[in-house]
Amino acid sequence: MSPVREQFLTLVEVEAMLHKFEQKYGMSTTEFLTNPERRAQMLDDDVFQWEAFHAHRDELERVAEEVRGAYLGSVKKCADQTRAANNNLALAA
Amino acid sequence: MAQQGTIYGQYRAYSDSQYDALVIPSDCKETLKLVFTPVNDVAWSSRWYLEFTDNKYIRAVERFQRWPGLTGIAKRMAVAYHYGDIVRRNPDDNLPAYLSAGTDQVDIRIDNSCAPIHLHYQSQNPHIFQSSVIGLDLESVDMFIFVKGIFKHRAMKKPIDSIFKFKIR
Repeated sequence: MSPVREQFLTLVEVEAMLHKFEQKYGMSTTEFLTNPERRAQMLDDDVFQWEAFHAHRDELERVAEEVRGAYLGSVKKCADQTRAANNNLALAA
Repeated sequence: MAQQGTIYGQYRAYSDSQYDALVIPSDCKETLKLVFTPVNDVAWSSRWYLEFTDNKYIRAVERFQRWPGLTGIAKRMAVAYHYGDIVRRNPDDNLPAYLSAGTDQVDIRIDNSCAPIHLHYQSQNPHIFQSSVIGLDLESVDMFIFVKGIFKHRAMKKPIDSIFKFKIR
């Protein structure tokens, strides 16, 4: 087992980290990304981590969208008759 | 390896082998052990801090992202390798902190913050771009090359430029 550590973050955890930096510096992530003057006044590692969490969130969202698209692409459309039967079953339930 | 396209599994295998072989000097302590934060095979970041008993430190951080236009390959998008005096600490985690708009002391720093990859040598300014650095391809330096170079500089008491074999034009 390698002594190198590895941490996996969920979207909720990444959002929480982004929120932490937004609170600390009193600006939104969008403002942070578009304001080089303010970034220059921040600690270098905070800039690195903030950008990394933003990229992390983008990639998680991209992957989630890819999975969703693949799932929806694999779902077979039901015939109109089946849809009516399903609706009747739902109403009966 | 860092300058070429790679994937997480491949880069981790390389990093594990380099890390396992690394001999950390007795006057040095990892205050943040090398930690990878992967999303998938084409997106991850890593951070690593080492501090020395003479108030100097190394910080090595990298972020890889999917290579635009190439499927399934990651590219190093952000990098900072820093060696110098500890002048302040981040109140959040107590790790040494660097302010790029300040006058913080630098022994050597390679980064691509807000500009193409460049070198800072023996002072925060100027930013020395690749066109003025002879003998060292800045993109070819990875965290292990950097850390081992600093260990060698300290052990042999040789100037950093002679260890990394570069000259500034």
